[in-house]
Amino acid sequence: MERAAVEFHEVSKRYGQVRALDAAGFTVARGETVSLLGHNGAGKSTAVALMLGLVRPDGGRVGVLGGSPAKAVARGRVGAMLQSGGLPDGASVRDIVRLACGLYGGRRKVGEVLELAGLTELAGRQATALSGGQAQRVRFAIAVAGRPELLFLDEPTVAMDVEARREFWDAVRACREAEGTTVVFATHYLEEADQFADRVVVLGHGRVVADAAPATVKARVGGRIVRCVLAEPDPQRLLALPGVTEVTVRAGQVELRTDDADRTVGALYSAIGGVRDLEVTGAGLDEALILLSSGKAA
Amino acid sequence: MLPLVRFELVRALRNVKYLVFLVAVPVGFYLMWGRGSDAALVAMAVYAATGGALMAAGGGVADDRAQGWLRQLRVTPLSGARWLAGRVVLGVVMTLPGILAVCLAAVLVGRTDLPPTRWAALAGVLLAGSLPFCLLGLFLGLTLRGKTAQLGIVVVFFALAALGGVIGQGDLPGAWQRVRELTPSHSLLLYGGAAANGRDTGLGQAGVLAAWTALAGAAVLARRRWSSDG
Repeated sequence: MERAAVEFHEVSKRYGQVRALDAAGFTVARGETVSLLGHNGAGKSTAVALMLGLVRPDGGRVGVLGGSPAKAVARGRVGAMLQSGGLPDGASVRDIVRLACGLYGGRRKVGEVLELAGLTELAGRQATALSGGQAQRVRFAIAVAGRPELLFLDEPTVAMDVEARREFWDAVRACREAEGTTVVFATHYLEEADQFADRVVVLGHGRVVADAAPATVKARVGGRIVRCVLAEPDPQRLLALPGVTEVTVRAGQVELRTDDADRTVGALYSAIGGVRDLEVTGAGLDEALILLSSGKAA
Repeated sequence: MLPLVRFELVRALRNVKYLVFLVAVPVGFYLMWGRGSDAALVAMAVYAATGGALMAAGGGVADDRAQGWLRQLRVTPLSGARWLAGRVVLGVVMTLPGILAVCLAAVLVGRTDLPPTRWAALAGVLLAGSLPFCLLGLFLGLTLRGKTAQLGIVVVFFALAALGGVIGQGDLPGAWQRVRELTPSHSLLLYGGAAANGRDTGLGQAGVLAAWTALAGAAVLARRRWSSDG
């Protein structure tokens, strides 16, 4: 058996002037669930396209299940939900699932796949008459129709509401537990990476800026930002406030990074006072990624 | 490949517009103008065969590309070569409803009485001769976008039918007649007529059909090589 499900070795890919991936390296072990996290344009979709052999790297090497990506796809060992993949018109959900089962050589029965993707009730519906979330489930059904050893999901829950998202991840989890499927999913939701991945690979500007357990990444990039104006800010005192992990002061403008905004704000009023223009925001992923890229949050 | 052909057949047979155009129209023409004439039988069977091949192989490909469906198929074990082969098989198979309907009308209403070997020869010629039309339709579907693709296929179909003498009567003026002799539709018409009458056909017509097949096939392969969206 191969060592790793996916191996990225110093992989680079350019599109014209844009450097989509820049010497990116990471591995995914068999049976692992790994999230590729990053904002739009960070290189997630490029990484997925490379793993599926849809594009070739300009430099470096991509290995999938011990061989080339194209070979793994041709053998039906890989299933994928692409962001740019779509469904045909003039076909019902059952038609499409039957086709997928057939293309993978009948490794799963049509009814089983419909059930797995939560599509049994919708089997007779035309694919073009589905909601965004339902269409995603059909694409999930295609991806798992061949009982894949490795499943790639590129931003799988984009079109889904909270409930649909939960049901979707339940289905992925069921697959993973029943078959030991290796799952690689790209997302820009930190929460999703935190809840479903064993490990998170954070991409920023085409580079791997972090590769760690979700809790570690979350601690680094999560938390909240408290901004306010103080008459005489003292960085030392501010850093000592409960929850505060980082302090930035610029001409009376104070920015505090905290992992407990409630206590920080409370202490700000009680222990320091003279607080004006208070504002609490989530530390955005973009912001966090800039920090990670520059190494400040490490 | 077979699951794909099956899937596409179901999809095509549910398309009512398509069936009207490729089955009802040639049968209607035959009944209105050509009842009992072997020439009309062959012409309308060629209409059904060339139209069926162009539309089934190429129609919908542009939409499938635009909607990302071909990209989705690319990450399944279905190889590009098998996808192409599947579309060609589909094109050839989808000529059958129209051909059979026209032949049936000829037997039942036109009282055409051909020996079984000639029926078989006619059907064989039409099926084999639909190959260049499948490839041509596929090329158009892979090249044109959206509604333009559907329209382009219909325009090419009628242009070839009119130029080739499948629809309309008499010779074309001057140089156009020479152009006619180079169209695949005209070759198929002559071949079909010969098969129905039990005559021998020259190799010239086979040459025209073979040249169109090679040309359209090369165009499809070149198009596949340079496109990233399919």
